[in-house]
Amino acid sequence: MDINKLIEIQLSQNDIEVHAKNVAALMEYTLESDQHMDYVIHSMINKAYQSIMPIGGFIINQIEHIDIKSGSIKVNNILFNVGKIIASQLKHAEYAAVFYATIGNYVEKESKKMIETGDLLEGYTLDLIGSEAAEFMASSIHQTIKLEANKNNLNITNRFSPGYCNWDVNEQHNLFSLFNNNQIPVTLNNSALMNPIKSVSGLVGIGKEVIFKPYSCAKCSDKKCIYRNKKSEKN
Amino acid sequence: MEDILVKLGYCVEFGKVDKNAPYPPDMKGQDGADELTKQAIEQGISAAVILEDALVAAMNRVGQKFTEKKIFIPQMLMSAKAMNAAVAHLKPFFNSGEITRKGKFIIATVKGDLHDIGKNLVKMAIEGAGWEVIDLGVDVPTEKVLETIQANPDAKIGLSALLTTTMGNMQVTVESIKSKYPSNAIIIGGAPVNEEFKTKIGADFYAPDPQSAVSYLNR
Ligand code: B12
Repeated sequence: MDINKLIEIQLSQNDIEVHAKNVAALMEYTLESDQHMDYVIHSMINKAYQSIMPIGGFIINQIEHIDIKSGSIKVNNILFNVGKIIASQLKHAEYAAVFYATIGNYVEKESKKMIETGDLLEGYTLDLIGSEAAEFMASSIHQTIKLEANKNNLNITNRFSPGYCNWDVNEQHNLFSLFNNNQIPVTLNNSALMNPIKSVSGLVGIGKEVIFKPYSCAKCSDKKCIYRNKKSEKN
Repeated sequence: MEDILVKLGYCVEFGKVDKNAPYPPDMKGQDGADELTKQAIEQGISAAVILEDALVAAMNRVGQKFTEKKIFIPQMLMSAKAMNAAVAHLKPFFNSGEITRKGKFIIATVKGDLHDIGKNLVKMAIEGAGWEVIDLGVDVPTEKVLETIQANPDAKIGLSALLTTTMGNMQVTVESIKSKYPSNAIIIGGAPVNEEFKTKIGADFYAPDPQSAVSYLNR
């Protein structure tokens, strides 16, 4: 396995799968119930496909230390306070793949423009499609990490992101420092916010003994999440 | 006269923007909010009556249905679009002072945060409810909010934050506003924000969605 080396993956727009059905569900619609919505969603998916730039990358490092009690792991001499939930899922991991995934900023710009010119529904729909596309890109990177691990007869864990499962968003600064001086197309501001907005970052554990667990909303306390119980991640 | 106001209200409630608009499908080819408002003005109906009896009343029904979960954000957006088409014809009456808005509402996504979409949805819901909204955009420093309040002393304020890190900046902004302008109501919102945080930082209201902000403002 390549250690401490950035591997980047660029997908073509058509590799990104955004299903109209899922977008409709996020809007609390069923497609059959409204032809117009169906039309808006499909045309906005086409619009998004024209200009998204799906790109992502990851860097694998050895995990030096895992402490479940304090909820921390150490990678490349950097201590991550990932919290107990994540630390325990990383328990047997030997390596950590730190990743980013983005679709660029076209969608957010275009969505804003549409809302400003009065096409409110279209702008809102496009924004949701962008979020779905960014999630898809993150899953693709997760999948690539899995292939890389499998090549070495290793398994992977779920992907974990700062800001979820009690892992503080501020730790994004530590996470991004692992990309070293590599030029990546996602930047972080002081508030640990990524630009472009439609970006995801995170960490995946790699090891002989680790397992991937199907995503479960039951563990999460965010009762008002628009994804709650709507999505089960495949991998 | 009543008939046209009822029709206009119906168009706003169900999101029929103008004659060419394909939505809602069962009103295809019929006049929409755009044409009906024009006709109502031509018939000599006062702008105040059009605004209150047809438009604002319709948006109140939309808000009520949203609260009861009978409709969702997409339908609300279609209604807001129809509302905007109608209000465009009332501009001259606003400018002449014949009709006025309910008040001013300053909205901003706090410093360090670039999230736009939630704030924009709130903006149009509040505009639709008859308020003048001053949108300061995203990544807005506290000073800019303070300056805008100074220029609009009666305005109420809405702040949005989408990350726990930028909630800290929200706190700074709220505290600065409250120390200078204690009586200007501040509404806060955004996914990680909650009632407890509102109390902690001394804001006046936490709105989980645009509609609860409208209800609060209309109290
Ligand atoms: C979709 C989504 C994404 C998308 C895109 C996000 C976007 N905004 O474009 C993607 C997948 C890219 C993403 C990425 C991330 N996300 Co995210 N994401 C979400 C999710 C599921 C929905 C957000 C959304 O778009 N909602 C729809 C819009 C319309 O709603 P809204 O902005 O919340 O606004 C509504 C209300 O909040 C309210 N409102 C908002 N502001 C205001 C203001 C006023 C005055 C009023 C009255 C009302 C109001 O009214 C609006 C309309 O109803 C939320 C979870 C959730 N429950 O919402 C997490 C969430 C926002 N994300 C979160 C996190 C952590 C992240 C990441 C940091 C994860 C990571 N490490 O990669 C990144 C950060 C991205 C970045 N650029 O820095 C956290 C943030 C909290 C925290 N821990 O800091 C959340 C809350 C999930 C959680 N863990 O609970 N995310």
